Amino acid sequence: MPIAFVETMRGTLRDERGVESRVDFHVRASGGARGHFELSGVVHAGPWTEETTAHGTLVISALPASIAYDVRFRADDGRALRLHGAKRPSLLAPVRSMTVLDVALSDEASRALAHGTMRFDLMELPAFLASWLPLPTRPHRQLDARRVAVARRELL
Amino acid sequence: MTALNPLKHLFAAEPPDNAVRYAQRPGHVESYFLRANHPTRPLALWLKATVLAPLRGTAVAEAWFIFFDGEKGTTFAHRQTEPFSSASFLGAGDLDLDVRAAGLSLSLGERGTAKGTFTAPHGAASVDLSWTMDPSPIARPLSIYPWRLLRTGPFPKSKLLTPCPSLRFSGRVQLPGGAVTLTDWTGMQGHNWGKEHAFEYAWGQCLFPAQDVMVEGFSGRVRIAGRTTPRISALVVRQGARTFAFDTLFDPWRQEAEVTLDRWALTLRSGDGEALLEMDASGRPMVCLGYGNPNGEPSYCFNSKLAKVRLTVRPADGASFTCESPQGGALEFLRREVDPRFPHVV
Repeated sequence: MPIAFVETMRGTLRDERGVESRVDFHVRASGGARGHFELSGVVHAGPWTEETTAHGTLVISALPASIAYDVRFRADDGRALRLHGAKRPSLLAPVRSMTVLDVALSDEASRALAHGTMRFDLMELPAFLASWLPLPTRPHRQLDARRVAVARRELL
Repeated sequence: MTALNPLKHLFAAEPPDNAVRYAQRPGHVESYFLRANHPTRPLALWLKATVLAPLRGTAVAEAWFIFFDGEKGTTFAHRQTEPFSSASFLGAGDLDLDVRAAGLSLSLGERGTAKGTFTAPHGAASVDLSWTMDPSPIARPLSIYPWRLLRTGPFPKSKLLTPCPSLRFSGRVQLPGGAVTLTDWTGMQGHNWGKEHAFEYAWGQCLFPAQDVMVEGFSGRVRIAGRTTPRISALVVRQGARTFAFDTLFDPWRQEAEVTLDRWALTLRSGDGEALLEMDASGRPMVCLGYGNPNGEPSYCFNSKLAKVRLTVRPADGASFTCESPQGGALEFLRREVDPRFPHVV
């Protein structure tokens, strides 16, 4: 049975000039077969895009333990960009290793545009856990509405 | 009965928004204020009527007037004071209130008038205004405090309401340099009261008529048992009939406030989404007002009505929207220290 959950990660990116920008993504991960999830949602990425739809993958590996994010979106100037990074779950620092994600922003030619850190807000843990339920819970409904609204605006 | 007194705040009917809270007892300060901005030019007006009942001494009524001219980079500001016994604050229920205080007459309500004369050493000014309430849903009475107990109970010691968040003004202001005609100026009416002013705050309000959006919020510190709290922030955004509330108050993990001498930046998150507000009065006309507290300690309000504003809201269930106003933001900072940039305190 496919698994689905909704996750939000927030943080900052620093580009090559040292300028910091806020970044966040709100995605649904669905699938789960062999640890592979498809991502769909919305991303806000500072000067590259105020808000746009995003898709990508999330891959969970056991050995070595890692949760790898690859969030892809189109910047306002038309470039296809990737926001990618991996969590390294560790029993020595379980909370930090599961909530902190070091990321890089790259373009189509895999040139690094910025690096940064994103975090999962533990205050949103209840909503995150609720989103794992096999029901159309509020986090799913809200993300759907958000994604549709953003996609519609992009079409217009 | 004494033990039941704290419960009165829960069970007593909440007074109308513009009802006078002053019960003729020492230790109270209460204000009714209006602000109006030109729809396209950097011109703005601010009027206020205040009751100050010190813990020791006679209660006074005060009238305040500021005209901000961003084109000339000037302000005209004055305060007049008279014994409270010479003033009157008479409510007729709901939003209606008639105020006569130190040369200023206000008839508050959805439709209202303001008339007054201010005679300062540096010149005289007069005002003759009328207003109507904006028909949009954003003009509904507003309370940033999310819970009734915060408005009626003993904490915090300073309260605020916005009985009329969106008004349309017309009329005339006479200044030493000439007359200004107001036609369809936009603004609001607020009501503050309490046992003292907050220890420190940044407060802001702005209307974005083209997008039918209103925002009001604050970041402030209060004193509890002699200690100052961390900064607490709240924001309410209205977009047409929809309200986005970021008013959890005691949720420091979802609030980031940056307050400098002229600028206030706020990021808040709630179940409604995320809001990012920037209000900047750098280089804009600003006045330093000397506020008295009932305990005799002074506070200083740095008041601008021409701040630049940028608001972005990312709804939890919709597309984000951004509103900008080049000079329509009402932005005030309250501090306990004077600022050497302002040698003159009104």
